[in-house]
Amino acid sequence: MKDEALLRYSRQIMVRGFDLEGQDRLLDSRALIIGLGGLGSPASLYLAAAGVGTLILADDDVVDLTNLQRQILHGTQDVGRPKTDSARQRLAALNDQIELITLNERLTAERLHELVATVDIVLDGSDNFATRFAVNAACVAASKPLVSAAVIGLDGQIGVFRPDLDGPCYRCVFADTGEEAQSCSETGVLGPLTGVMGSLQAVEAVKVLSGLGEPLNSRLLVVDALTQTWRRMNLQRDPNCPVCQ
Amino acid sequence: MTPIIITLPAALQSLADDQAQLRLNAQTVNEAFVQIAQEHDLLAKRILTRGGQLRPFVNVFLDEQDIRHLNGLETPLDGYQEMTIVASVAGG
Repeated sequence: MKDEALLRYSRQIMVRGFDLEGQDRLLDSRALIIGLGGLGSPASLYLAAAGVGTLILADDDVVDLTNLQRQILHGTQDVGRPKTDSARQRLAALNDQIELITLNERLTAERLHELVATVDIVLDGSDNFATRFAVNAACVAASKPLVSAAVIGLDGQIGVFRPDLDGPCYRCVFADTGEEAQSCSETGVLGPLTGVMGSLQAVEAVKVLSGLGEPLNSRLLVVDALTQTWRRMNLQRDPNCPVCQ
Repeated sequence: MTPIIITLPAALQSLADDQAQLRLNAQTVNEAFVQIAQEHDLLAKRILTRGGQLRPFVNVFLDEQDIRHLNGLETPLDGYQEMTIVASVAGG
């Protein structure tokens, strides 16, 4: 590692258990981030800053004025631009030592399967169940870790699904009813809560990639920001899961 | 009868007079929901179908365990302190 990189990442290299080895692992890692909204914004910012070697950023949307209350990757001047464009600009300014690959497209199941097979971890911050189930299926097929978070209103959830460790998958826990999720445009969402949950996605991704600590494997962290109640649930494989069984 | 604390997500608290937690005494998960329905009918309808089954987008945990991996709605509450309602969320 060059001196500049050592200096840039020195404060996390100092973290006990992370060390130079953890930083080397991050620099050699590839992460796919689905959705550059309220969750994908803080997650990608922190993973870029931490030095994850390659970030693949997927979103087919353009920046809207109503996004800016929580989607901190994007600024007022970005309204109307593809989110992938403003994300690339912001993240490159933060860390020009990592590779950024942007995909301004809605990922089909086939495309997801191709992409997921090329990365070490997937972070899902999408805004609909159809995408979430497709991302999960691709992670199960490729046996790749999935850090999944979701937020609506004042409720947040995050779980780490480890098909690579024979853990339960997203579909083991959440039924595919074909129903559309409540959207932030209908129900509202507290901006800082997306920041908390997206940042936790980055924390878990760094832990999984570097080998630091005990990730939230096979657990679901449920947050009620209204009362600041946090609960951690155990997840199990569904013996009848149509995806991972 | 076992005393149990029911913890609700923020999205459902308005259906329970803005309470984040309910306290009641019941033998099983199902009995707890029957009691909830008596005082908070709209809340119960968001959790259970008309046929009295758990809605597929709702997960119920006793302490840290999903009741689907216990005995479902018939799971006895004895030995547990808290029942947490978790609704599927997909916002990002």
